[in-house]
Amino acid sequence: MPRRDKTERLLNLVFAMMSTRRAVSRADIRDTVAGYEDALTDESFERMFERDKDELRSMGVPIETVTDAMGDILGYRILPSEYEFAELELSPEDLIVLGLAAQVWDEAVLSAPAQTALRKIEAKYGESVVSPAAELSGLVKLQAHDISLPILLRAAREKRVVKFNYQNRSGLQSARSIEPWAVVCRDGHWYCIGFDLDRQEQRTFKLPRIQGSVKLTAETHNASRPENPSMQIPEPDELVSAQVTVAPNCGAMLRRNATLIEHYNEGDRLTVHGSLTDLTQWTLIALSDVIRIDSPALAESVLSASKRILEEHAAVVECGGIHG
Amino acid sequence: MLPWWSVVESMAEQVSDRISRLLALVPWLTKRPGITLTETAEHFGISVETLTKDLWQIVLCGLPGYGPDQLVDIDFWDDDRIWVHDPQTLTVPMRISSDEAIALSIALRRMSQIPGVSEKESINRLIVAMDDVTGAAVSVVAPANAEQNARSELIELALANNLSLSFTYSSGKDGHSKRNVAPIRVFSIDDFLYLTAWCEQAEAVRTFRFDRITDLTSGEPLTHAGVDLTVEVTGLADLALAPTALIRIDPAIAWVTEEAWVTQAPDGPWLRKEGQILISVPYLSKEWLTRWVLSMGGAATVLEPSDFAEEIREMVMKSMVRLSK
Repeated sequence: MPRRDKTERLLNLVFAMMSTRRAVSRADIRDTVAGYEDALTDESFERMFERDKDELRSMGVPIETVTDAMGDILGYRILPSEYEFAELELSPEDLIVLGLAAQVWDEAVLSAPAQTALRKIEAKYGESVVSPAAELSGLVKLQAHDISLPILLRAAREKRVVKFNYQNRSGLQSARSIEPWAVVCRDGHWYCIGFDLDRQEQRTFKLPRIQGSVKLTAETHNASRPENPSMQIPEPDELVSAQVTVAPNCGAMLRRNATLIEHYNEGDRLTVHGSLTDLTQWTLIALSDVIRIDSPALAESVLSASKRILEEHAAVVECGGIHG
Repeated sequence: MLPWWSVVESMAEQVSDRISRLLALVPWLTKRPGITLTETAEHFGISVETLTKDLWQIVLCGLPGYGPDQLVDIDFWDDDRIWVHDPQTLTVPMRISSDEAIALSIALRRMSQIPGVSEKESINRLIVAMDDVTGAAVSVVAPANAEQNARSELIELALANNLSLSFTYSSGKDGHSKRNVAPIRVFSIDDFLYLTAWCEQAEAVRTFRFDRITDLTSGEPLTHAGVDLTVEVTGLADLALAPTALIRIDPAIAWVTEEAWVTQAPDGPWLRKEGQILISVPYLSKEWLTRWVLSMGGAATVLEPSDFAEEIREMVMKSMVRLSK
């Protein structure tokens, strides 16, 4: 007999649990629900059923565990009152806005759940969510393609610990155990902010540097989560403050992150806070327009990076390019 | 023995996306008897082929016993139309899951931050509704500083009242230039904001990135006389047609190869250290590529075009002299 598809088994399980007001026992599930005949031993059935149940619950399927007066498990069921869509009053304008919201993810990683949500709303109300008019489409786009994003969001919401391999700025890879607090987009990049359990510190992770898959564990958060961790992106390095003078209208990245901008004859003096690594990077980007750096640490860091850039490129020039 | 923590691999995400879709599909189709495969596929953002596979999957499922009366009964083999004869227990859609509400909530929050989006009241109401499902918001786009906020407010005001805008624009290609524009709309990609406007100097519709706009003031009411404001939104320029540069990167920044616009090049004689990689990078302007190379602080070196390496070297040298004074 051919093995049944996992999707089919999970759907059959949903149908079976929905069809009864009492509960379906584990024994009934094993004997009657199509797909579980693949489990040859009691142990493999238990493992399979536990995984399926967890997976459906994580999708939001409200599986209720029914117990008797002694607390022994009689079985499982899905009550229509729990399963059904809660009332949500929607105006015609709301339907337009929802259509736009689902488009924000476009082809990106959260597109599928956003689309499914709209289809549920449509099935509930019978009315179609309005596809945005051409002049409105593409208004707002989020382009995260990292498959780690939905798992990190779920971990943050359910306060669960995740494990992944991470490549840091220096190219070193290490295994990390993190309590994710928030996922943030800044300057076009996506970051996860969380508590690093091995280093016992708050850390920020750039999503594309997460190597391989993120494992969601059953372990829950212990560290106390700050009130609003998403309001700032603390960096692993120490935060420093620096003054950089740039030509008028120049240095977009420095300006974007400036807390104070003073206009002088020679140029604009920007006060910027951040990690030394970030400040160095923003200053380097604007290098030809930087007039003065008033902070010794930043000046030294920018000059030593410049020296390296110079040396690397000098070697290329001396050899007259790749064909020289 | 099982490990002490249960593992949910990221691969499982795909199965759950599919099941969520199938559970939504049946009640949706029940409400739309006779809808076409094409229209349905479009609505769910999938191909007709995937939809057909979904339908074949769902008609194999049903209640224990699995006789003809216990299976989901959907007719989809006649002239492209779908008829649900028996949805079994799937008569109503399942409530929106937390994952789905989060996807919408993040999108709505971002929409509420865009100047010129008119449906703010509706957006805020829906954010509250989605947060009721998830319990908490876990993602935001980083907050703007005072200068950015002031700029956004001025642009929003100009859009609402049909006012012209004047500003200095810094672009990699043209340096700094004074612009007088008639704003048309604002859009955003990730956390960057862009203004599409008719530009008097260019005599054409142009797109400006917010953070490169300085000295912004709003001016006279606009009449639009003789100006064609119909815009075709082309998005960002096509990188596929751009020239490419050959760049050597250090292992420390090997992660850049994950960026969508980077392709790895075959190894060549220019690799000097263990772990170095050659990449090919398309660029729309030399200024952009220069900024990118500089931002890597010496971990990225331009090899081709070779005169480019010379330009970078000269520029860095001049800057070092100026900054060392």
